[in-house]
Amino acid sequence: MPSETAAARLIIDTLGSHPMNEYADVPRHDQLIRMALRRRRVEIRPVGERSLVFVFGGVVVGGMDATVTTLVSAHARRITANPQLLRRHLEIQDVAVEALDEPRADQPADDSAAEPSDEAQEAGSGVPAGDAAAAPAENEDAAGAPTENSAPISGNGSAASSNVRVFVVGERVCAALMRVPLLVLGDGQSSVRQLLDRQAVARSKHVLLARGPALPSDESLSALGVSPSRVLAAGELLQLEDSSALSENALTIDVTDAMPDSLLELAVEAVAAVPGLNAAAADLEIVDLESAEGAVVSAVIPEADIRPAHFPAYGEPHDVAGAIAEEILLRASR
Amino acid sequence: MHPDNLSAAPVKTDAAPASRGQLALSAEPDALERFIAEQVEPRFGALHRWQNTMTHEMLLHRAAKRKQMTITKINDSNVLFFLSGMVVGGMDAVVTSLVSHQARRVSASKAMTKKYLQAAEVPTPKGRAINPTEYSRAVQHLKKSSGPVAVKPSAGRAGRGITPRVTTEAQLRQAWTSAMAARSATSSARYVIMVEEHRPGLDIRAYVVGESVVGAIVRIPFYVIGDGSSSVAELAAAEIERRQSNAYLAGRAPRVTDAFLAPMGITTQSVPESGALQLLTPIADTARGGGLAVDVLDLLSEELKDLAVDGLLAVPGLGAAAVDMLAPELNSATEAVVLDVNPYANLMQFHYPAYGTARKINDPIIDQLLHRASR
Repeated sequence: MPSETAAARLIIDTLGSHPMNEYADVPRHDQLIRMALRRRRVEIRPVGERSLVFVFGGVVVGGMDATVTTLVSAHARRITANPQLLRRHLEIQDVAVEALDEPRADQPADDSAAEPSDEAQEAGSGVPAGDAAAAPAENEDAAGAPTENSAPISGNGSAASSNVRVFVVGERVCAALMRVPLLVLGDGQSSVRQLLDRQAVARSKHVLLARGPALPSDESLSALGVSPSRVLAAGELLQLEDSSALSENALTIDVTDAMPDSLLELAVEAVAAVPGLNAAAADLEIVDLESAEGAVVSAVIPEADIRPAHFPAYGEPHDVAGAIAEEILLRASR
Repeated sequence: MHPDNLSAAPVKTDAAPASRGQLALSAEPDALERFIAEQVEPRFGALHRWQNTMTHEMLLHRAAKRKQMTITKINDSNVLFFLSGMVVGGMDAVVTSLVSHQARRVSASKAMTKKYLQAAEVPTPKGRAINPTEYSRAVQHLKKSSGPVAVKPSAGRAGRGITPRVTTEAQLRQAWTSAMAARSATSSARYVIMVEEHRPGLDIRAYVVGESVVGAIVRIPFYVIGDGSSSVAELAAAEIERRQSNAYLAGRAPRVTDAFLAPMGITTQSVPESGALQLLTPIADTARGGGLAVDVLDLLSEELKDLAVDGLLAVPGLGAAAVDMLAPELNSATEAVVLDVNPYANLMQFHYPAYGTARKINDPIIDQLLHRASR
């Protein structure tokens, strides 16, 4: 990662001067939302194996099916589950997306249509790819994170770009997390092995990170062409993975207050481009953390796990669940 | 005149055939028989003649355009509605973005819908979802039931596979087979079969938008009135011929064969007695079974409207949908139940009823989209 970029400076500053946050235990995604609702005196009634109904003052104000709340329309889920369909929606509304190298197909793969019914028809013939009859276990990974059915519309961005996941509820940004692929920051004294061992200890105190795969062994480092005994200069970043997925040892840094309005607006526009979508995460690929120049939307994810926003590796936690609860109540009240 | 069917007009009263038999009520007429006698037969000659009808999608697009919205087609099934450059909603095939992901999943399953209705304390027939491999449980359920049951696939299409008034094991086996054959191959509703208490009453479909009932129809099965000499085939053919002037009904005429009539225990050669009401299907199948929709919005009591709204609100995140109810009377909610909540219901039934006032329910749906978008 080029150290002269704003993102690199932020990473160096954060990792160099702040300890990793410690969280011994964290609620699941759906538990966070339930807790936020209960704090607002909303009664939660289970219906069936995987669904909840939210009742306030005796009136149904919303619900949750596995991990997706009623702030998400069926139409929105269908669009976000189909990268080509999402791209079309974003492009039509002039929301920046990564340019395609090859001409795209005219029709998305998931393009089945339902007929209206004169009688009681089932939910159409077109069930989105991510809308299968999943048991609860199929909608959460082993660590209790919701499975993301929303595929990215582009790759993982260029090597020079940073991935930022922005949580949008209503038209408000609740949290923004830079997702940093596995790396180590040199201190001028420690070897790569020592830095990794130190990071493993820090990760073991953060329950979301402790569940990730093992950090690279000496053999893995050698396979990457990195000598485990190499001593990095102070402030030198060494990236060891390409993926910004938390399941592949990426780290999260809260950048909510560091993001310029133009980037936050891009995330809000991306979510607003999808009809009936009132809460979702937008993944941005950002060239410059201080500007929207060159930034593109790579995914819109209604089922995004909110726990990293509540429990980031570095930086301040943000109450996305509270914002979701407020939005559910707000929309029911009018 | 109907705003979305400018060429629509009722046929003249003198269009009724002179030979139309007078309905003779049975000794103990049920709700449907009384409704036909009081609300339908007196208007027999006033069957609407709809021409150039609009499809469900066209009706919604038309209403969106009336609101100065721009409609952008993304592909064959996806449409966006813009107002002043902002997305205010969309359509995925036939459903609008007023339907939440959760509501869509719930409405795909009658069994799940029943659970939501029960959770919200909305009256609904007692029933049980039974796995297709557990027919013996259905038999046990029938034996324990104090009255007849209805058998239906939890996820089915357009009323197919529904058998009401099942009282014997032989009927149950036939109903079970019918329900199994009609199960949706694409649905996520786990293929279960519903066996629930049969509740007599009028088949009322109310369309609820937000917290208002904007349309209500009673759906009646295809029926004929005997003249003492004509066969069912002849009476049905005359009725189908009469409907040719109604574009909505003409395209939905059933083929009346012995197989079609078999569930009623009659054949094409059966000759109903003079004045006798002869139903040709056991349920009001308005899709392809020759059933008729009769507007009853102004006859529906406030209690029944409230029940319909309660039915909609029982399903989280549902801004507009049809609520199917059974009620012995239109002017009372006593013993009324909610059967189903259906966001896929075809708007055409409300815009082009066979009898009664056409209801523009497309406009309130689009208004609701705007209302939600403005939040």
